[in-house]
Amino acid sequence: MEIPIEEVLVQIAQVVGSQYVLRDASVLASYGADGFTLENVPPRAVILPGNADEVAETVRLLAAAGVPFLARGAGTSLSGGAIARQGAVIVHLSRMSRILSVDLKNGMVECEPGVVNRTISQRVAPDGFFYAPDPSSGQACTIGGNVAENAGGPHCLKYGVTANHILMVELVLADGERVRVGHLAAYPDPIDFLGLMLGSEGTFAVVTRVWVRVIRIPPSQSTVMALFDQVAWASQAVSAIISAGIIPASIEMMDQLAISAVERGTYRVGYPPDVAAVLLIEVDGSSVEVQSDTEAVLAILAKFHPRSVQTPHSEAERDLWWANRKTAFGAMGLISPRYYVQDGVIPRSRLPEVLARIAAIAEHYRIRIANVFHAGDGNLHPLLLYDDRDPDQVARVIQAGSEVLRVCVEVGGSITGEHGVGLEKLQEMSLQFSPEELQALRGLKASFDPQGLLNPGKVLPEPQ
Amino acid sequence: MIDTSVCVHCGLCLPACPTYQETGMESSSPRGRVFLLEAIAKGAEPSLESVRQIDECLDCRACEEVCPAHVPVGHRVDQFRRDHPQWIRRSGSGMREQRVVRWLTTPLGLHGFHWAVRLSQGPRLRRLSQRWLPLPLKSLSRGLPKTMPRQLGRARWRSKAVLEPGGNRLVVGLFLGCVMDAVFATTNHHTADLLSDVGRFVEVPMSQRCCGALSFHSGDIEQARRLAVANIKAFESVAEVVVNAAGCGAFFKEYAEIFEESSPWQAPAKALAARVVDVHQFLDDHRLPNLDQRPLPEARLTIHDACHLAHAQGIRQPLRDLLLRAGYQVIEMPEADRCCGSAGTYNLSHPAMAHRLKQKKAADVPQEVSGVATSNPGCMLQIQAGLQDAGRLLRVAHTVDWLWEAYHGNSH
Repeated sequence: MEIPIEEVLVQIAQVVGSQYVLRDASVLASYGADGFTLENVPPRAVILPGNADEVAETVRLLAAAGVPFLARGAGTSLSGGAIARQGAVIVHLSRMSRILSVDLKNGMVECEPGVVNRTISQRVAPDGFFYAPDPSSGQACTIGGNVAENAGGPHCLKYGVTANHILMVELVLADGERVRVGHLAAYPDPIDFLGLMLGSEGTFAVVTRVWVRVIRIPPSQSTVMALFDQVAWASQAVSAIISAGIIPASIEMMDQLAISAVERGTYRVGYPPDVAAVLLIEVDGSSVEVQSDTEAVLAILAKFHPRSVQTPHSEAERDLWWANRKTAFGAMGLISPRYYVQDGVIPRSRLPEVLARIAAIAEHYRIRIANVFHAGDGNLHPLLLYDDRDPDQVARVIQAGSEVLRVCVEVGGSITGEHGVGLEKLQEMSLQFSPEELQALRGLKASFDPQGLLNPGKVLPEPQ
Repeated sequence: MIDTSVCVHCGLCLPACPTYQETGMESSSPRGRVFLLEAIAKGAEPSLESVRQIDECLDCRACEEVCPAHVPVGHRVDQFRRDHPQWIRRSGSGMREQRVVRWLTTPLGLHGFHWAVRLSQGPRLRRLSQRWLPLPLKSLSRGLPKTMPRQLGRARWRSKAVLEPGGNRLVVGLFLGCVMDAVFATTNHHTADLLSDVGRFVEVPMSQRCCGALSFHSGDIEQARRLAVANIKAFESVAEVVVNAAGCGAFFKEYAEIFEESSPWQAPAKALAARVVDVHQFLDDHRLPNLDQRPLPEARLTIHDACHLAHAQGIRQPLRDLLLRAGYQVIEMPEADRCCGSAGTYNLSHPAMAHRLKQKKAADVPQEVSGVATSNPGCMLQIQAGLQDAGRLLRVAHTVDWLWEAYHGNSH
């Protein structure tokens, strides 16, 4: 039975309040994209529920009417995860942004899905705790979105990604039923439903509450900045650090083009314009450990012809280095109208070779590619710069992006590390998965969402 | 045309935006507003709702400060208001205040305003005004100081020669402001005293006028230019101009932006902008003595960072350093730099949103403090009114006033 959407929205308005059902065309247009700007589709409507009950009721009404829908947080997705396809309605969880409880004895914080990643650490920092996964968009992205994308970040090299820090989530399933998966006490389920949900990109359920693990801030840390005249030397240094058995909290790398953008931005470190690559390496732990690791890192760096190596003079200087690195994507606007970021993962030992191949791809397609990435875990972020007013360039950028991912898969890596598949890498899924594997994934999706209403047109390509 | 094309829609600005925090709607976030503005710039006919969403921007600059590419969203919204007054009017907000502002920025108008405010503080009129004033004004009037000086600050300076032209380098110009001078004239005198304490001769040119920010933001660019020219001339001879109102200071520093590129006033505007120093910065650079060994009786303060000081001028630490050195204890409130909703004349043009932000700010003031320090007349009125509404008997005063009490007040 097909119920007209108008009628459903009237019913939903009675649940959430009419001011929280948005229909105005120009307002909907502002929801047309997220951090991924190659596609822009306004949703049919936007609903802003105020609590989990309202989410469940909203989902129940939408599902009964067969209206597709998706959850959205801060809309910082880089793979188009929060873009409404196929006439979907957006359930915007921005009003659900409260931290509900803090239990430091058990190292746990209970959050609504709209809580901003960084506010969790800010909340527990006075007590000496932090929430480890730190995506570069941490000042804006929400914990609900982090769960959906299984978000990573610079410090995930040592601490692991979102999946390693989520104890339990409350979900609204595709028919409006509310369930909890995972446990506050750490013991494994025979079937890991929590693991299934983490990184499912909102295609299985809507997250309405998250219990995250927070841990002690390490007593000591040290940051090292190294500048190189050749990208290859920097990437060889990264491989050498890892193979020496040191696990820094993070190893980040930016190349010359990326540096030129951030140095025009809000947080300027003062990198020399002609430097080819910068490495930011952070080690943390007990002070003895930090001292010996730092010395070992410095000794290794010295072997790879760095132009200079330094440590920050103050906490403020360290913060500036990180702010500079973490705002690199946003700063691309200063050197190009748009960018398209790829998220391939490769074995670290292949770093020098893959970077050379990416440079060749850039040359072949006549585009500029800036590189900002989590070098320590081989998670590349080539930023393909383009002008959206030039259709030919847009086409070349999309092809070049696909080619980069092909290289990643070829050397034994993956098409995505932390940004998700979204709508962006649908085609490339078949580079990594066989038709049989894809069919199995579709079966899994159907068991949670038989009507195919949740975040339609994402993650799984249509069968050929 | 102010350019927003460097926005790559990363969304890092969202949580910084007070209106997004309130509504949760993308369209009332900085990125959402960029979307709406870009659509209109491409020729789309704006709906009333989209104009309302754009115009609900406080111009607090919080988003500009956190943007990796410093996209000037606040500036762009301001320009939209100036370019399309008919749309703003049709959407039901803004622009009504333009005539009031023009009147307020004339010397006669300022005197009239001063007297009107003073009279309204009489017990009878106060009771009457609480019954008859329109809601936004009623609430705001509750934020007025209990006792007001008899005259505008500038009148006292005219009658009493304080000028002692000494060596050029030691003379600073003092900017008095309009609302500042009409309602908080004592703060201007306190500013002059503290400047004397750090060894400066204070010159107060009588030909100075309102900075022009209120005119500019309400869409009256011609009046803003006239006022700017008057101030450029008035302060021609001093090497530094000290400003104690955050909004005025920020506007002075952007004086060049209000003139056309080809205007002969472009260069003098830039020159004045470069000579303007915020009072906190000045007093922090030219060290007041350290009193922190002598704790004050009313010693626990919290700070509200005025948007146009924190976001627009990047000045936060000097306030804290100054208060600590003066013997105060500073207890931080959460999100001290979130807009209080005053935002120039925003509390008159957008009373509903301004009211929500006022309540939120008042609720953020910690229970254990005995006063609030801030740096802009609008914030002082707004937060005082918010605390009054919440039934809390705390004093809100300019940082300079708290400092003056420490260095000159009765307790010493």
